[in-house]
Amino acid sequence: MTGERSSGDSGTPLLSVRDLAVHYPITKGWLRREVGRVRAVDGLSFDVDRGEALGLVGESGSGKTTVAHTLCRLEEPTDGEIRFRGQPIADQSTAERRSFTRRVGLVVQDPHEAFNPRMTVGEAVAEPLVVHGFDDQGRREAIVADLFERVGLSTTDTDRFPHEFSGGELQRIAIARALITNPDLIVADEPTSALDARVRADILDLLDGIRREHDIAVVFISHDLDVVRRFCDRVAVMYLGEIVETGRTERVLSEPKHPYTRVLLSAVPALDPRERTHERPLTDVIPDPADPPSGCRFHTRCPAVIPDPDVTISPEAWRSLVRFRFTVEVGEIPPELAVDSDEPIAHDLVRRTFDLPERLEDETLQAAVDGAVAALAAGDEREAVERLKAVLTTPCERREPAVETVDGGTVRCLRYESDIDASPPGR
Amino acid sequence: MTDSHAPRRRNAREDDSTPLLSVTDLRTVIRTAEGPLHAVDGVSFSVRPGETVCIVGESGSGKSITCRSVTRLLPSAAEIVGGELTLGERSLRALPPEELESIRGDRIAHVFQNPQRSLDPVYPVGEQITETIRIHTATPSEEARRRALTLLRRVGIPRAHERIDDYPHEFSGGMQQRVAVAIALAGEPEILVADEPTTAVDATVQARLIELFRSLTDEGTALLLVTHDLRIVSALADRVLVMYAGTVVERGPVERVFDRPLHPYTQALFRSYDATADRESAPPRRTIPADGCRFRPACPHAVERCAGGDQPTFQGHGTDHEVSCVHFEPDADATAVLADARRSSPGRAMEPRRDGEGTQDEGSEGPEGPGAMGEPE
Repeated sequence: MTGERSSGDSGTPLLSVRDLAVHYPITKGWLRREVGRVRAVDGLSFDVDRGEALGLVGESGSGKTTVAHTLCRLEEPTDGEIRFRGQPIADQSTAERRSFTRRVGLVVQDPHEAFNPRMTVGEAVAEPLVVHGFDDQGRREAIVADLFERVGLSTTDTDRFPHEFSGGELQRIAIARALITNPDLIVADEPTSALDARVRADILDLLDGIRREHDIAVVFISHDLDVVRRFCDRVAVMYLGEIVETGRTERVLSEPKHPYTRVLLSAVPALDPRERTHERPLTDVIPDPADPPSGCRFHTRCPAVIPDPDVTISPEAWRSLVRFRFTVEVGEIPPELAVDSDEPIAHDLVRRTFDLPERLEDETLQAAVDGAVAALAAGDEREAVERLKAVLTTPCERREPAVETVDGGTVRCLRYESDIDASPPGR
Repeated sequence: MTDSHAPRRRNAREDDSTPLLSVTDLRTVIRTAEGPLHAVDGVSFSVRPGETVCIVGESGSGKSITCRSVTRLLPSAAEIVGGELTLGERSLRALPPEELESIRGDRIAHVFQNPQRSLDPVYPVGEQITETIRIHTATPSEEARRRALTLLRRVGIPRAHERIDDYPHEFSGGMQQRVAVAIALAGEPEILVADEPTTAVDATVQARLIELFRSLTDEGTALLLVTHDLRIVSALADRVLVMYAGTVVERGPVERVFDRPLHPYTQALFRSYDATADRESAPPRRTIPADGCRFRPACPHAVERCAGGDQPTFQGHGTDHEVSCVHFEPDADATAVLADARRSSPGRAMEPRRDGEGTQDEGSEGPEGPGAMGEPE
């Protein structure tokens, strides 16, 4: 999303992340030989301006929490660069680093785990000041009391212990603690996920008021699109360690460009009980981040996966055949086909279960599908996959999409690349 | 994916069909250092075969204790002190623990928010499923293993035949929850009691579990689902119970409750989903009264008669839709509360009403006569 938005006063974004990668080695044996790498975050670039709220959304394995930890320097990147007010944070001296950690506050998901049970909440909120050598106890207490009022609590609450508060109250206290060093940036990791709806709404209002009043930028990590819609100016959608789409929140949530964003939005049930349909991904399996799919990482689940130019069948037939292919490939065999291995399954049952087209125009394709059906009926999933793989080819599997600028945001999908003959997925 | 999952429209005759599970005036108390806490305080509902009843409420509403009371899966400090629980013709309340044990899993199965509650870490998942199958029916082990495999595939475990001998820790959280559902289904229960089953899972996994629950109820399994999430209610419920502080404050068919949330608490809950609503923020830390309407300290419509005695009697407002709020009592005026119902309906802002069920909210006729009030079910 480079240059997507003109930034603050000096033209330098508050936070600038380029090609960020965080890999974890997978080791084996007592020598801890590295046998692979979990690519938790793999080439991320984004900017956050002063006072801006950026939402990072995605499912398990998307790497969003790893990003949060890296921004707070709780983890070091494997590659790439994070600049804070134009300066790379990796180059910071000890003093600069201390000043940086003062400028970045963190609010985590479970407020009960965020506090030391033996410390009063007043002490807990003042702790960052003590750490940063602010020695005047009287001033400290005054600052804490003022913050408690700002987050909607009473100054007399400072002497109480964490267990005396509800989850929502503790999250208010966590916000007070994040604010005490006057940060420019708050990293909030699922700050409202553990809260009830009404309390969640209150905490979001509070956080929103504070960030607007003090011009604090927020990187808001969440899986909850309702919360992101309410809170964030811009949103970045992550899938398996990569950003697949960015843009203004209203635009991304009302006119999603990337097929994954569409699937994610569609998976959230409507608030109208009469509307109970959703767009399903081809498969439900989220691939292993240690071994992400080639090409576009979403292609094994993408309902809009692109056929190669020589595949000449109707879009409906294509969709049902690629669903067949990837469902068998990831091993999501429907229970209807889970019968005793001694008795072969009727080919018809396989066809009906996968809703396969009756006849295909293309002879080669027809032969391959027939072969795959027969193989699956005989219980040979591997053979079925090989047959389908050979004919149902897609550029999405071979080619990594580039980041394209669309509608004031970015999207990473071959459908938006000029040399690919496929219209963008639309409703 | 399909259109066939609209909430069931139940006519009066259908409602006469025998409920599978009936809960009447359930009272469950938790002993605390500060004295007894009335966690469930006079809750009544019933669930019919193939029906999905959702209990929605916030933490502390008593929704989880309500469904754990059904099979007495209660913390040691909790005790059922009143009411009746019936499964088919049998009273569960008087049942000795051994008999209750055999009903659990066989006729009533539980799924919890945390799948680890249902999974034994030291046995492979397949073994845990086959064990459940064989406890409940005399099934040869080969056959049980095949059924276990089918169940794992049904809940969406990929490469189930390779994973059937894996241990619970080898599965991700979302996969563990699917395995927990497979174990719950192994005894072919008549009713599945699920407590926040999708709260800890990803959106696409949740969508998959919702589909699975729908296919189960289509086959006649009853579902009692506890959640704090209105979107889950919208996706699954036939009927809804809204709980607040141990009491049911509103109940009815899902479309009616979503179209017109009547209780001021339901209205507040619905408004918290609307980013554009002018919300009144709930001031933190209040003592919740143990009599009358429990919501009155936080209620914008509270009046003197909200206090004291039992919770307000249920008043009907259209077919099957009932509310426990003094403003709907025959001699009261519900105009102001009904006006809020209109602006609190979550789908209201976007689309016009479709069910054409009258204009009584403006007409200040209030409840539809005393015939609709009184004891539930």
